[in-house]
Amino acid sequence: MTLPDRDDVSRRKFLQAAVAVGGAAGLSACLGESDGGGTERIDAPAGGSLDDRPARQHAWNDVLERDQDGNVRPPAHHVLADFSLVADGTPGDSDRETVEEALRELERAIALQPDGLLFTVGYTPAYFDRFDEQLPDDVDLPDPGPVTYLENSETIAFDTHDLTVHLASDDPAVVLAAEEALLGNRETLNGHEMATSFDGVLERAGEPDDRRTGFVGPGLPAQKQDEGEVEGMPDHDIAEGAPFWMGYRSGFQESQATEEYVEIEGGAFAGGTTQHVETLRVQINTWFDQDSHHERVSKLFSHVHADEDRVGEFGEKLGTSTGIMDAVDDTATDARDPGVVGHAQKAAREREDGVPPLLRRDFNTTVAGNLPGVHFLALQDEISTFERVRRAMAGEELAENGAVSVRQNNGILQYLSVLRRGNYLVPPRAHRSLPTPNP
Amino acid sequence: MMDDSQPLDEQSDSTTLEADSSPSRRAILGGLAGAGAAGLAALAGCTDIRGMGGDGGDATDSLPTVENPPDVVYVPSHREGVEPLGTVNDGPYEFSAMVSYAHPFWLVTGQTLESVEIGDDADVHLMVAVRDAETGQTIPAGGALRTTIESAGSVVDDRNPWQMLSQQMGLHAGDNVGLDGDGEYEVTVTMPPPAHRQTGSFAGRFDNSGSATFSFTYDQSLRDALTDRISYVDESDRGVPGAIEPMGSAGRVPLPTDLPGTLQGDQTGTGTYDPPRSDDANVAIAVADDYLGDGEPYLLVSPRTPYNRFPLPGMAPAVTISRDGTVVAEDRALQAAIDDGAGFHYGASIAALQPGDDLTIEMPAPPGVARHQGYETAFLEMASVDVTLGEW
Repeated sequence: MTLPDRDDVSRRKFLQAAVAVGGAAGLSACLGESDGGGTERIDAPAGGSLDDRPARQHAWNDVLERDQDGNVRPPAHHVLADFSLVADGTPGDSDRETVEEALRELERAIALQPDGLLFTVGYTPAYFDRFDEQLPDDVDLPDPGPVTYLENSETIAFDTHDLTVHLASDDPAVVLAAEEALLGNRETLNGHEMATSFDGVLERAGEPDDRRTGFVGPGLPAQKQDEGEVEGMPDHDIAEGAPFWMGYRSGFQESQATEEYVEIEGGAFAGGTTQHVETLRVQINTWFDQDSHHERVSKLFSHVHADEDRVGEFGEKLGTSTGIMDAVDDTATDARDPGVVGHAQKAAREREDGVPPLLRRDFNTTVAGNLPGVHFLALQDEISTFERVRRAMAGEELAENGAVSVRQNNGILQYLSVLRRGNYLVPPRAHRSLPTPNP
Repeated sequence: MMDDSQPLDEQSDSTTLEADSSPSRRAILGGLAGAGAAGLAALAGCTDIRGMGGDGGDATDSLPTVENPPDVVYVPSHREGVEPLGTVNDGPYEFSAMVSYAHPFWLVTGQTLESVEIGDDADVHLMVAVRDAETGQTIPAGGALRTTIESAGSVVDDRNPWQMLSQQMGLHAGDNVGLDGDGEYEVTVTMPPPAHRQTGSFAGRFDNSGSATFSFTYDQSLRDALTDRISYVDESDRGVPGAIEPMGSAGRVPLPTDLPGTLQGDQTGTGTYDPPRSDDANVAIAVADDYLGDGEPYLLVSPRTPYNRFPLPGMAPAVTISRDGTVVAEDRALQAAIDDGAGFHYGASIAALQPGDDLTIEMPAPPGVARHQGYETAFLEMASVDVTLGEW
């Protein structure tokens, strides 16, 4: 893509800042050649035929790259674009066609690949409340609420807009341009003329400040730290190879559910999935500056991982597996002696025959006060599956019966504060546009 | 059976400083009561405390520490300068907040002790203690209390402070935090319902979260006040077994004689209850009939700090019961609980319990709470406690 040379900032730094700012202004900054009309060029692989698009919106893994160990490498830049219907009541067929055509325009414009564009459209329970009809029994999509006993519904926001488009690409300009194209702020996208947008049917939900953006990938957190623009950063250096704020690799193949596993099995939405998005504040200054590496590994994996130095500086020793199943049966006894349990150890208790039930597609962000945060986006067959794993992670019974406290020494709970939760149905592609509860 | 006429146990559990006639203890008390005099003399050259307006130095450089402290609770080098931010009640919760200058502390993670230095951006040490508004019993937050600091409507800091133990403040939530220069700050405190079992009149009392808001002005006048309030212990009295007097707001657990049920395991047999000890903790033990309403005897174990009588949460004691040399119950977990009368303790209803039984109470994990100076060398390897039960 064409980018201006800039003397004082690195290209990547500038682009990430542009994703966070977002909108036409962010995109202009991104390309440095705004004419005010939202026609800035991006240079991504073209989309072409729609015939070979997968039936499942969440089928990204086949096109995503793999890291040196074979783990799926998520796209680097993300936007969660929230929309609501402009009109009250239920959407009509023409609204549905407009939304579908706008999404097809995205697909025609940009290829389904990491340097192109990956996206899903997910619908909230509030959207389906517009209809008299109920969702089929195959779909478990409750209203979002507090999930663990540690949460206070007064301090958490719950998503009640209609739908969220999750846009992802290794090229930050692409996610920004795609968002603007959906909003109707661009006439062309990647050289393709946008004949249709969401304009008139859907509008951006929430305040501009609520835009949800983020990034993930080796080196990006360390780079953010070097730039010094995010508050709440540690004095300690985040490892160069770390993809997440917390400084360790995550999303190992052995810890991730497959795209098939998280599918809804039956009914009109078969092939779809459910999505939970939990936004967290992450206290990485405490994590890095007050805890030692040994303590961090004890709290993230298990004390055995720490004692045996299984992890390495940032998880580089782990290959495709955390090896957490060795420690999972000892979780309750570890909570009593030595009195510390690992996050991975707790969560793995909810695996079924060793199979992890969640497909994580989480990414780093900044939250209130420009502090480090995470959009923990997880796909699973049912929202109740997410809640089950999340409660295992909270480890209430470990605090009741063990030496670990409700947060202290209880995995990484000490460093996390839940700010926002949302539940979504991600339908199969055939029903991705303003579906009725039983299409 | 224990009755009310049994003498109190001031010597071993409550205020050793008052009851002990040893000259050194009296000297400590005197030095502390004098607050200013000895302190200010020692203060010369020590004002460049981190966050206190100085350049370059920090509290670890300028505030004295105790070299080679003993492996027990010991008298620290000084009493911290503290500014109370007030007390706010919300439902059953009483929140008391305080600020001090940032200072070092120690984390306990499983069996590991790790010192925490003062971060480059740390300005103050923020502390919040939570008690039951009616009984004053300490409610351990277990790290679940959250503090959000705002200035002019913007979030400056948002964290879950550590559960900490300090001779001055008792059990509290605290951490060093960075601010955004001089100005007005608002601290919002939220706490979810405690996860510990709630017994007595506490059952059902803490079903909802509590919150409170405090404010303070961070400026030179606060920094001066905090520095002025530092009170130094005479050098000869530092590092000896003992403790400084807690603040009035520090929550203590009851005297053993005020625990429900019949005390067990008296170590001296002199008529005053002298509790078993483990790595310098006093471990008061009682058996109470039908305490949980299940018709079974309740074994109540109440480990507390010596001298200041603070609770020691973050352990997982378990009891093995033998009768005539045969094990009748092995490794029975004692669950952490909060109670209107007994305060924080560990306990279990055990039907099998009989007078004459030999109990071994093991505490494999040390109290998983962060430590202020004077507590970092004690309660790290908790030896098991052996008790032969008397009548109850």
